[in-house]
Amino acid sequence: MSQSHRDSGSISGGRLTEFAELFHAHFERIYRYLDRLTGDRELAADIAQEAFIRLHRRGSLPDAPAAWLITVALNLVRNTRSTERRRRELLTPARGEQVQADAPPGPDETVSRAEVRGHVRATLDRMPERERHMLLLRAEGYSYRDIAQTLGLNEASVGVLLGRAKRAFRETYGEIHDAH
Amino acid sequence: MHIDDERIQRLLHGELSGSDELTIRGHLAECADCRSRLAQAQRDEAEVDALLREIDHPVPTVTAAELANAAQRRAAPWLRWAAMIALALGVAGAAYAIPGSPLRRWVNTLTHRAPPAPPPPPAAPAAPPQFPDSPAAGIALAPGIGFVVRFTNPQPIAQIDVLLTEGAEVEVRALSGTATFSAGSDRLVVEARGRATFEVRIPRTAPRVQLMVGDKRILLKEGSHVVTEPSGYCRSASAVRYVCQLQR
Repeated sequence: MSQSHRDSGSISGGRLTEFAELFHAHFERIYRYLDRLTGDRELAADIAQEAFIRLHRRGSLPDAPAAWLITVALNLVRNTRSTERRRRELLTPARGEQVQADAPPGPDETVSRAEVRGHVRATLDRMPERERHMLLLRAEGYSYRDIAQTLGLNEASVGVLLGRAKRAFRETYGEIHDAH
Repeated sequence: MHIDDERIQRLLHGELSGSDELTIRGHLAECADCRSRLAQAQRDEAEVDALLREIDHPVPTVTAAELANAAQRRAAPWLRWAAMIALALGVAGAAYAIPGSPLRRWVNTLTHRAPPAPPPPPAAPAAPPQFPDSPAAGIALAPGIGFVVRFTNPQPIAQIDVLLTEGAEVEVRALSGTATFSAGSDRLVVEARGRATFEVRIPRTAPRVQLMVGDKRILLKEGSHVVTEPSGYCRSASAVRYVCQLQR
């Protein structure tokens, strides 16, 4: 990805149309990826929007927009998490749990469905970071090239690593499910 | 010869070239083992996707136009200042240019009354920002989206210590020897003098930072990953520290 060309202005003219096209192609899947990654829908929405605002303010479109957007979004997640960690140290344990917890199941939602959600969340949290990102990026249809570029991997081995990540996910999910 | 895991996954995800796919489909037609492995991979994929969908939330309703407006609003304060300064300069220039303008008379009076200015002292060479309290020469720069630190003369450099930090800027210090720094918006060129050792501090949050010696990349930090191959100059000393030995 060539990132040496940076302007301080915003995207304008024909590039605005390209920006809108990129938004339609990528916003939904970046949001879903971040939502699954963080388990925090509001944070995911904020960061997905912020990534596109930064793309607009960049002034020129990157050569590999998908990898660029994901890289920016991941850095924003990391920054937010380190700030959030410092903030949570000041909260009581009960308040800290409340901040992280998902919404309780609604009246029409079965308990087992909520359990599955909890198990999936726990499985993702337990996975090594690289496998987690690979699994979630592929689930959103990102190409092997984008995955390799975003995670700093050799593109030729993305398939093998993805296979391992899926196996690890299924095994960990099975262990968590059986333990309850 | 069976199909390996890499190609099973690539077939599943449409990541094979046309000729490879033809070859593999030909093999699948004849090999029950590989057909079974592909079917299992498809089931695994479907199961993982179904479980992941369980934790999804509705996508927020936001439009490209709203985000473009938000980006422009954020850029507005400095744009307003720039516009005001440009306007003020324009008005002053126009007022000066009008024949018989009182502004022109006033400027002329001032310039004729003032004693001749002494010749300016020779300008000091522009120096990059230095660490004020540090005995070692150094420079700190915001890395932006992509940043390159290039050491131009590898021979006298003994060692470069690379640290991943929680800071916001790439910092380069000459721990021994001296160096000249030339900074650009997305790069820093370091010219070492004498037998020098350096410390390079890279923010964990920097999306992409490359360390080059001449035209050779010795380290790439991209996202959360640090790659030291293929040059082999650097080795990991801990989770946050890499040591690059340049004299072997």
